[in-house]
Amino acid sequence: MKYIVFVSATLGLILLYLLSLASENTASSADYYKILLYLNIAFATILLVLITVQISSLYKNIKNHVVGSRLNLRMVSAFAMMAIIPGLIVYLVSVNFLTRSIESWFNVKVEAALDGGLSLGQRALDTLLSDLENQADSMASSLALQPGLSQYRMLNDLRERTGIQDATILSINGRILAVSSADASSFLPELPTIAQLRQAKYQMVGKVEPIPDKGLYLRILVPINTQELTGETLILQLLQPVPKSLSNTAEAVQDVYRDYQELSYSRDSIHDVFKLTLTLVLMLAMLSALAIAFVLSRRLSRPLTVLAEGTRTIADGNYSKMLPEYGNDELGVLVKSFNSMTRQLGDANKATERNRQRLEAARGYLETILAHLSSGVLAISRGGELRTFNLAAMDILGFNLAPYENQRFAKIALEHHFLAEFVKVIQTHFEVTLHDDQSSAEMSRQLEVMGPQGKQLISVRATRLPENANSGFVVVFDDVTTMAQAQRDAAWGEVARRLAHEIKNPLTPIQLSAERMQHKLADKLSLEDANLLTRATSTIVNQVDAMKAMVNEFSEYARAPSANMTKINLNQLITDVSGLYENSQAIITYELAEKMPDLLGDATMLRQLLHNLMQNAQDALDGQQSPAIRVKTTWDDTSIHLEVRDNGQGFAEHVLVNPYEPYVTTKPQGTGLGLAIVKKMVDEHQGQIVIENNIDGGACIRIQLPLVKEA
Amino acid sequence: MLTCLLASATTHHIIIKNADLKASGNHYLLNADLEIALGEEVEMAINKGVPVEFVYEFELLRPRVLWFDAVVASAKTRIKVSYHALSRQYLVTQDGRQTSHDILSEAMIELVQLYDWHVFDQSDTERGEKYVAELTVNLDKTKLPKAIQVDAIGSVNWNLVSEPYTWLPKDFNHKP
Repeated sequence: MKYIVFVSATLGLILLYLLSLASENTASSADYYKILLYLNIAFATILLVLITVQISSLYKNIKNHVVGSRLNLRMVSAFAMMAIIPGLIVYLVSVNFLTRSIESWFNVKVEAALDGGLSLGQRALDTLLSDLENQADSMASSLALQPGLSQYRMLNDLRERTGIQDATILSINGRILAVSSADASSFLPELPTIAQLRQAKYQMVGKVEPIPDKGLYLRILVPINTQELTGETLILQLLQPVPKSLSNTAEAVQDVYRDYQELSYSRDSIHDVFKLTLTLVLMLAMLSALAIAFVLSRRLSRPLTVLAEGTRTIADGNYSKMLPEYGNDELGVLVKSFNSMTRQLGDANKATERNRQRLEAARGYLETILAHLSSGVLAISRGGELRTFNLAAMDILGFNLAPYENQRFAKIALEHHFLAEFVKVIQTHFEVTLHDDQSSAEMSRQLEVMGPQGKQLISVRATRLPENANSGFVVVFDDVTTMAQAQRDAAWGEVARRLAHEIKNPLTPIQLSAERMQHKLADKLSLEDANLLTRATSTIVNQVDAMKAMVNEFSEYARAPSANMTKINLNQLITDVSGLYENSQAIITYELAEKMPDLLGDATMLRQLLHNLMQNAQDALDGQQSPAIRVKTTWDDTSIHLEVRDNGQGFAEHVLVNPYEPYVTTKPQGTGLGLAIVKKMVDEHQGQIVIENNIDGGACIRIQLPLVKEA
Repeated sequence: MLTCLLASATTHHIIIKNADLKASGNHYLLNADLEIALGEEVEMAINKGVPVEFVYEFELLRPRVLWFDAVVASAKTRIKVSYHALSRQYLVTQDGRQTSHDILSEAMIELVQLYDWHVFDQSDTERGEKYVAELTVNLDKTKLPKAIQVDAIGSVNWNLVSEPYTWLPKDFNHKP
């Protein structure tokens, strides 16, 4: 576009120069002028088309809100105005000036002078002509009097006498009959036309005539009226050149006159030519100016367009696009600054992105750790809202915490009453430390909670988070129920083992000594004394036996025998054991499930377990009216259930709290180890035991043992 | 025919009424009869001293199928009419020959009648071949003063051009 405009502008200038040259010259360059005129018009048309295309594309751009197009339009109009207004002024002034100056060429005085000059010349020639006519008349008369051929001889005399240059006698057909000439240069005289000859047949014809290469001549044709009746009419022609001085002046006047006439005739045409030339000049100049305006405005607005484009790219979040370098001027500097800004923005953005990723990774890392912790973790914000929790927290507490996220932590206690203490402890700690600036304030407590899964011992630790991490709290808690139980079990086992060991040793000597005493002394004592001894020793022996049994029980509990697992049918086992209780005072009913599948267990242990349960029930029914025991087995896909129920007193309250603790018993005589051993055995079999009181009185012990998994 | 009628209806026109070829020895001479109406504009220009030239162009063509006709022979002549104000004469100049006339219509007779214009020789033609003769007459605008030329570009007054007059000349009788 740029090159097209510059080339066309140069071309236009050349054309205009040639056109102005052509306007100056006269007729010879008319063709040339015409060609130039057409070329210029064609060129103007091309420019017009070019500009129209530009304007339409600009308009389209503006309509489509292309960046920079409005600026482009403004600059184009400004440039165009700058070119067009002075151009128009110059044009109007020039046209006016030209019209006036052309008009000034023609004025009445000049015309009158030229007319006068011409008519003066004409009159002078007319005078010469009438002189010559007179001479011709007399010559013709003289010749007419001469007979035949003597006319020809006389012609020369007459001509020489009158001083006329050429005298010719012609027939009416134009045939030359006689010639007399003073002009040696021409061989033949200039002949008149046939029409002139015919005209001259009846009367004299006199004319001023320009003859090519010879100048102005006076031509007289006069008929020679001979007396002979038979003779044809002859014509005498006299040719006399107009005197050089006169003819030259007259010709000059006539030339100027002709030029003037020609000019005045083509006055309008000259106007038209100059106007046309000027208009074309104006049009070409303006169109070129407009085209250049387009180029310039585009050149100026391009960096701005580029900048706007760049801004939009950045707004779209693309920092990678660099703008092309643009010159060394202010706009170029602007583009450079823009580029460096883009680069910095891009770098900053990248850094932010990196940080975000790092944070994300840290968060993921933390979340993974939290999810796989066996301890429950709760994070509480400064405002007392639950922020984060992990899976283990939900497992321990036994309900879904998700609905409480971002809710007040205290709300948990409102809906789960068993957690009241748990929440209260944390709340209290929270409130105490919130207003205290001890940032490392920590709290560690163990709480007993009666959850849906039974009694739970929960160890809670609450720590205040650092000030900048929203300064909330993190609560970590563990379900230590099983652990505490195990510790207690281990402690009791140890006690039992030691007791058994320490107590068992002296028992045998005591028993033996008592028996020996009775044996040795029975004969030596009176009957009365002997009876006393016998009673006393038997008491000793019985009590020692009882103590032995007790010690054995202890060691039984303390012993950790490795279970010898075999396939066992529980119903069969119950049937075996039931034989021992046939003589019981209580009425024992058995409701055994049919087709009971085998379970994997230690036969000795399970037999012991059954004994313990039966014994317990039997003991509980001591002194009870119409005692009854019910033994029931059921099974499902995964496990076997055993239920032993009695209609005795049921468990005392304190027993239900810790039923498996050794030495917790309701029996006047009893080690309290029965249920503890039962529990131990159920644990060995990975089963579960539940102890409760019936609603209608009496105790119920339910045991669930897993079935053998068929491989 | 229609165009002829239209042309004669306007105030300025050139119509070739008749044209024919005549053998004279080895030469062929053209005789033609024209009608020229100059129109007010051109007549005024002549009276103001502007010389006006007419061009007479003759062409002998051999028609060709599927191509332009071949030009066998051509001839061109110019006749100039001008007014000599000093002598008040209308001068008609053709090939260096000049005649003078008192009035324009008399001068125009010289232009409308072509006598024995030698246009081609017998040697230019071949026996038995078919030829077409064509004559055109027009006012030569390029010889006008430039201002008038420019003015004449858009004006019909100066557009004096005859319709090409074509005819089939008789077979040229070659002597064996």
